[in-house]
Amino acid sequence: MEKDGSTVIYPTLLEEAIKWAHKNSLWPMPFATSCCGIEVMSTLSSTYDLSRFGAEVVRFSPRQADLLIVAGTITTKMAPVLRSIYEQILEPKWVISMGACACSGGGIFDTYSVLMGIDQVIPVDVYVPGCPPIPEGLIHSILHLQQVIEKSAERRPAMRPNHEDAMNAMSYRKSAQET
Amino acid sequence: MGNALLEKYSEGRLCLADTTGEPVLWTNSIADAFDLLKRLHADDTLKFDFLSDLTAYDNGDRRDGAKRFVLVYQILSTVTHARLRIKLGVDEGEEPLSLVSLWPGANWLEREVFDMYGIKFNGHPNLRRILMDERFTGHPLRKEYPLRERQPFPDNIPLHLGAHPLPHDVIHDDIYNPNILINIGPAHPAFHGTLRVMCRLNGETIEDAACEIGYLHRGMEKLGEYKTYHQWLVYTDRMNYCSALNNNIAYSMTVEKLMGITVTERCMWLRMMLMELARIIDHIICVAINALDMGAMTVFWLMYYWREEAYTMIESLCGMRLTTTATRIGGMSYDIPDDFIPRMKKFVKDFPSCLVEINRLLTGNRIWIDRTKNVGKISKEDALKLSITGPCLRASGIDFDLRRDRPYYAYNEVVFDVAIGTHGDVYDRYLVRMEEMRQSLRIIEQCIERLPGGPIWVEDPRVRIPEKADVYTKMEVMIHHFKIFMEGINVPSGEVYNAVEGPNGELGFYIVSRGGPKAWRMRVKAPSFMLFQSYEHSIIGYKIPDAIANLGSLNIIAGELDR
Repeated sequence: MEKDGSTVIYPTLLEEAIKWAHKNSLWPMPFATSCCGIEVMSTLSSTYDLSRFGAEVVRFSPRQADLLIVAGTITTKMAPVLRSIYEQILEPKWVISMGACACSGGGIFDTYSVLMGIDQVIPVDVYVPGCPPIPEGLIHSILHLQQVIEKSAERRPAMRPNHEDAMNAMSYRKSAQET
Repeated sequence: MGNALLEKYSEGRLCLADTTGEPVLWTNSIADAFDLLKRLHADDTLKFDFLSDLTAYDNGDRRDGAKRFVLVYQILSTVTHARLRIKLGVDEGEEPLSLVSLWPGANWLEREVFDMYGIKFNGHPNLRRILMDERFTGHPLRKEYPLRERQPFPDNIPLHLGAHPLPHDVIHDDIYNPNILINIGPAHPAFHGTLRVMCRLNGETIEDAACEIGYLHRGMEKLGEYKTYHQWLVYTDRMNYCSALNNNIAYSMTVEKLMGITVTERCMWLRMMLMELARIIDHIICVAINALDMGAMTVFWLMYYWREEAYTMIESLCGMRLTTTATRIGGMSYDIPDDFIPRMKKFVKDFPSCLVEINRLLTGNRIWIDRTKNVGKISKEDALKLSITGPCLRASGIDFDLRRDRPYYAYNEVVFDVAIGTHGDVYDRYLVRMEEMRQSLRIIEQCIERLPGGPIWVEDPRVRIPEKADVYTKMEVMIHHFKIFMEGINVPSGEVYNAVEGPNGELGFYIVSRGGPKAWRMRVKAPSFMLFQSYEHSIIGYKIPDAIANLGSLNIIAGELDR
């Protein structure tokens, strides 16, 4: 639409148009369990204002969201919940793993009850380091994700556990425990 | 007070004082311990009406008697403000008597001890695991349990409303059944990510409820036994992450007490100022999120602006916004930057305008009053029985504030009022929090006025971390620095319980040291734990939306709840 009201036609591929729509209207679902969740709130609040990047429509129902922001420590007790939430999100879906705990279990919480990184149970698209990452870090990751969507960057299969892999990772086998 | 107590109750029992001189009573008989607690609870002059904490530690090296475990009861009087610790040696297989008949608040504490140590309590109504999955084998806080032995399970825990899981056919019942079972959480927006509550509804009214916690149990207490005292400082940030400064300071204070260190004047006033700033941030989050959960979004936008202001100040102090690690044992990581005090002055001057605005938006608002008044009531008696602390206790009408009643640092030299509610409902908790923010501003003002110059570090070679410039230029200093960080500071053996008035209530650290750089037992008495236990009771008889309003007003922080 031009300013004077006359229409202009942009010839493009349908695929490109869908990508453009996807990247500019990500609907995040924050799976905020701990400290990083507070920074997600900061990012959404007035000072940092995530709506500038089209990702402010926070949906707490996985059926309505297409971006899962996992913010905080995921314990072994929480892992099945995370997996079932991920499976309820409709395709296409993306995952941002926010903070050291979600990315790798963190150097610091290497204990009997903490899952060592959410990529054991769900596929992750962007990792945000930091403990917790500052709001700029989360905004950067969303901008990066927009580029990933735009360029249709290939997602490496090694880092994308399917349902069976996740179930294996979440099953307790005493023999498999490393000492 | 201590002497009278020891005379009256010490017959046949070993009386000791811990590192700070607090009385400790030792007993090795289960019946005697219960009898003692019962008599202390009923005593009219001592008035020990409050169970602060109930925990245990592994006595695997048999340095505290011949029994395998030691149970530790911390009791407190909200009238005389005295504290008493009672210790009971328990062997494996012995079943101490449950305290639920005296203090219903002991319910969850005993479940936690059972979960972590495998000590069974005789007469407990619902003794099942609380933090770990119920299929978990072993007890994580026993010394023989390996730190990294994980036991994941591929599905979530089924619904419970009591000791046993509910069968599946009851859950999927027909819609005409008046007893509808409903599960809220753990991934529910109003339940802060990790809390879960299971309710039985009759129509819309909640008739029975049970909370399930442990979705953020990260094993911090176990880590406390594996990390040096300085290393564990970073974990305190991640407990109540809304007011990390408060945790840092409370923890450093505890270790300092154990080592007999008194911090410098400047450090003390600075810490007080930072604690009050942290309290304001925590209350901002509580009020804003409580309002947001009920649909009042404007409050969230307005208050978060001021929270960002406070965070930028904290960032200039220690480089982090949320997880500060601002203190060190014996001092602070950095002295305040030059522009900190002017910024703080500006904050103290301008922030009340925000409070006035929120007051205008909420206090007289018809919708807010309808949603919050007479909702989630906790009576005076219930508050004491359930051992809740902090603003929620004061909202129930009990005049108890550790800052005034058991003053630490220089809280007895500053002037402030303690806000008290009358009904113990959500509205009163909101009002108490609003008033506490004003009082915190008053304390900050006085701290700014009285902040002395001088060193921020205590000159004690055991803990003094050398200046970086010296570390790079002088060899002795470098060796000293290396020893402090690689070996850790050497803390003498002893034990101490130290509590401060955190934003949510009594935040206590109980450290048992056997000497050396690591603690033998690191116990955190977290206020959220007891608050969330009271939630089970205070939502019964109300509707689901009331439960949401109630939860927001309790300000449960999952990191602190599950540790």
